[in-house]
Amino acid sequence: MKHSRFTALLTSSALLFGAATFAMADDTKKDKKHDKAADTTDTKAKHVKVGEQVPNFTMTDVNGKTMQFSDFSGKTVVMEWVNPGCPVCAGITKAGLVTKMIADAKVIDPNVVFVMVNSTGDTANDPKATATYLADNKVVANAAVIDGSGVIGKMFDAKTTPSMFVIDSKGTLVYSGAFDNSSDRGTTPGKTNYVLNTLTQLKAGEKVSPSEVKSYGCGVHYAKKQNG
Amino acid sequence: MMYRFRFLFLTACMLGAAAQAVSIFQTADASTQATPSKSNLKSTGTTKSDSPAQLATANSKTRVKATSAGWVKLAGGETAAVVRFEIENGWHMYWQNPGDSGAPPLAQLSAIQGWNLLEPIFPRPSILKTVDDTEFVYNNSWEWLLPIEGPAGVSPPACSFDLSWMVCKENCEIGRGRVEFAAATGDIPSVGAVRLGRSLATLGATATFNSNDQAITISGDAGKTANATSKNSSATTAQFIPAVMPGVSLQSTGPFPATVANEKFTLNIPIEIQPQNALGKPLVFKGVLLYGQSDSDRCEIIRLPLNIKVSQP
Repeated sequence: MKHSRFTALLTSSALLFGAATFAMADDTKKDKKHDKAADTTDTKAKHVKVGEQVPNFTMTDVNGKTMQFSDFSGKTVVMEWVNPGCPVCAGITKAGLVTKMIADAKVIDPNVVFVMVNSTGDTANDPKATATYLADNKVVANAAVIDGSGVIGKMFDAKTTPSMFVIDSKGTLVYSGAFDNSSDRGTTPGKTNYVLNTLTQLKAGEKVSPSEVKSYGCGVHYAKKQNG
Repeated sequence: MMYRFRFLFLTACMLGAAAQAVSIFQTADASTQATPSKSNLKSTGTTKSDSPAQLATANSKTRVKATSAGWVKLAGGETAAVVRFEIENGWHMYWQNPGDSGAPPLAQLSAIQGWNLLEPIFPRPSILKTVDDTEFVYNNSWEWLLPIEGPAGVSPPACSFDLSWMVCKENCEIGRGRVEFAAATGDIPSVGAVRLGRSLATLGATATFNSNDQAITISGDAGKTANATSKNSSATTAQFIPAVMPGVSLQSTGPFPATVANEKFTLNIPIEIQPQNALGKPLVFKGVLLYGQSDSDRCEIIRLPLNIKVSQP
């Protein structure tokens, strides 16, 4: 039953993706590369580096709903690693900086997608905690993903909470690293939010700079045993 | 083109064992308290710094006690306040580059006209390796040097530092506190004297950047890398741990072990120069070369300007 539902979801995702691909048929070779990547579900814990295509992967949200990364094909995707138990992560979230970032990002790119991911071993399998944490702090994301096995986190090599990753509309990882340039671990907001900086540069067609900034925060604390 | 530099700063990192030198540092009266929140920073009174056990902890969640350990003179002539951290067993604080995760402590000097806090000096850290991460940390206790500069010929006045730190075990907590220092009077002990009392003679080593290979090579006399404190000085190991280097990317967090041959040790560390990630700062290769395995062994700070223009590629 579960398997058939998953297959149906996968099929519908593929159909949707196919339609989106058809609509963008006049796009470039990079698009074709992305299509190829998105057509291949690859959940191996491979580190994706800045400048590389992000392979498709499966995500499960806080409600148990399964989705594919390729569901967001054609859109810029921002992924943030979160952990309600991390004072740094919770600090910027409770201060409203994440909510503000999402709002400001939507002004720059109304279609930008935000995916919050919890890969922390001891809390990632408690979806309710993550859902409550995001809801209490008015963080409205397109998806809140539970990555208890750490497969997604390790694929992106997420080391801290928070950690930010921006994937452009062609499926290329274009930014990886810190939330902002705060000099005190986010207690005082930095003048530059690197996600907004990246989105602004993408919109202007500029090369993303900086594309990698050392992130600050707590360790992700992956589960001791990984399933993937 | 090859660039050759001598190692800089032999002094600072030898403070890894500075906890053992508290009696030398504690020449000035000092008061301190460690508090968990900014709102509770006001000092409750004077506590002798040689009685850290008497320090009030305002909250049972506080994992760290920060106390004054007096003033020291640095090799460059600056005076530094010494903050001693005592960490609850099992928890750790972070070096200037925390490694894969974490954050170093922060300090802010109370507003005293004409005086400024310079770049804090971190002693040799320990390397904490887990399945997924490598972190550069301090356990148990350590001492942090906060150099200050002011009017020429004037000793530091009474002042205080507002501190915050991240302390982690399975989870992490943020701690805050204020440490107060009495005015520096009389003879201020030299940190160099402390260092020389616990280290071997200065070791010569070189660091070069080969721009063709995009690699840093560090080499030196392996014989002098022996454990500085052990009588059985057969240990001829050295390893490099990197500082935070915007615009310079390494293949891993480190540490990078040295190869030892013909009584010479060599470290060859591939780097990737990424000027777009330099955040407008000069590209510098920097970190600490650790000799031996013990926290009390010697180490040297490496700072190698890469002389590459930082601009958009």
